[in-house]
Amino acid sequence: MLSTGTARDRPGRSIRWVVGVLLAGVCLAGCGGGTSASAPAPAASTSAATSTQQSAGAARSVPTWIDIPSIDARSSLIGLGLNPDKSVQVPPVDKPQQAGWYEYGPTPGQVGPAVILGHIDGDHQEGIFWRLHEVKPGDAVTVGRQDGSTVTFTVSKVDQVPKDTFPTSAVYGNTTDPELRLITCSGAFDATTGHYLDNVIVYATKTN
Amino acid sequence: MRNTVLRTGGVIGVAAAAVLLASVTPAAATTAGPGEGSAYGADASVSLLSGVLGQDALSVRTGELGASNTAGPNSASAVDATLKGLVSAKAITSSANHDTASGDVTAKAELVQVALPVLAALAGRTPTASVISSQCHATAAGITGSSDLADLDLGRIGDVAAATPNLTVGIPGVLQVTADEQIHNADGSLTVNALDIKLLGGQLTGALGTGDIVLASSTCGPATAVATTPPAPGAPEVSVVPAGAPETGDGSLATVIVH
Repeated sequence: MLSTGTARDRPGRSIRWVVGVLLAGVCLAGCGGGTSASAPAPAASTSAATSTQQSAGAARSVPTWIDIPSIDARSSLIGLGLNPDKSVQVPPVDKPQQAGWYEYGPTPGQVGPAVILGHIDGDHQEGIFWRLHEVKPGDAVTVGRQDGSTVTFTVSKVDQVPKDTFPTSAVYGNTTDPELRLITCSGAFDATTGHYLDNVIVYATKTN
Repeated sequence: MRNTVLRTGGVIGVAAAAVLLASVTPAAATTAGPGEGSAYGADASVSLLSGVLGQDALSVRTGELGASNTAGPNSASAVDATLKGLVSAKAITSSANHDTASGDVTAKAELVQVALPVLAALAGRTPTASVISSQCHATAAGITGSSDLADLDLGRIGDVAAATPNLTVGIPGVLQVTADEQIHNADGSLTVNALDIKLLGGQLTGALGTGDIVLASSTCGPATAVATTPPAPGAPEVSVVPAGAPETGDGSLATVIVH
């Protein structure tokens, strides 16, 4: 008779529940090419990076959810790191409704450009950012954080840009206030390379 | 009491032995990519002959007990665990973590106050150990692993107290016990099994059956390469700027397709 105690973080349950977790870490490709985060994973450690504190910014606290009412998009957030080729990880493409936050940047509410990524489509389903191109300047975006606070941003600009001219500086460069970037794929899909040709990028600033 | 403490610091090497072991050890299936790691306390998959543990023949597949993974849960524990009477432990703990700031991966597994009734007939008494543990650590410099087998007493089966990975004792055709088994997986990850007990067959005198019992297994994939220092004041707010454009979609609902 199998007799085991209980797992520390799930009192009262057999430890057998953890076995299946090993099967969950399967990496799936985004846009048919890149490597995605093996997720859902716990949010990144708050020690991953620290940002210069300015008067306008909140303390670092990892984001846990995002809500964009104007396009009816709401998701929990997973941490996204880097692929071996230094490209940004994306959420698992077989869970296209899952959004993720780039963890080597500021957290939403800190000074700097916090970056949140989501799929336009995946596994023949609409992704969390399927309608991101419909977002308009003035729309609200709310992000919840692990410390229980919420931060609301106002969209200032929506761009659709070819991937080969991706505006790295505008997306990841320093800002003087807490800002947010929402990114997904868009445009035509190149069946030969397995990639969309464009990105949609939403720029938003913290609402005062 | 015999007081043997085995502590070996095996760096990746011993390639030939590792390949051989990888081909016959079920645990070799547990591999890990960059930034990934896992650990578990025990995993038994054995078929015992009648009379070894009770009157009846017994077939056991426990799965991985006390398992943790860098993808979560990052730690697991259990108390007073027994594997169908094969092995018992007062406590099992494991942990697996990926430090996204340094890129390092660590995994550990430990069993405390272990008894091995399954080997009692061959050992002359029930083998015991105060601690059976393994760990691995992946950094930018490589992956290292080690095992501790504190107060391990295998009785007549033999003594594995030596600072060498993959040391085996046993009885030909019946039993092979490997201490600090270090398996270099094809994907570049390292698996360290503190104790791997293989039952080799059922035809010879003294035979127990067939199968494999792994105690305290840790697997580390390679460390990920990231910036290791947090930004100083005035430094970029994004500490590592990704290359290229994000790939967020698989085109399965694309309306305009370019060939």
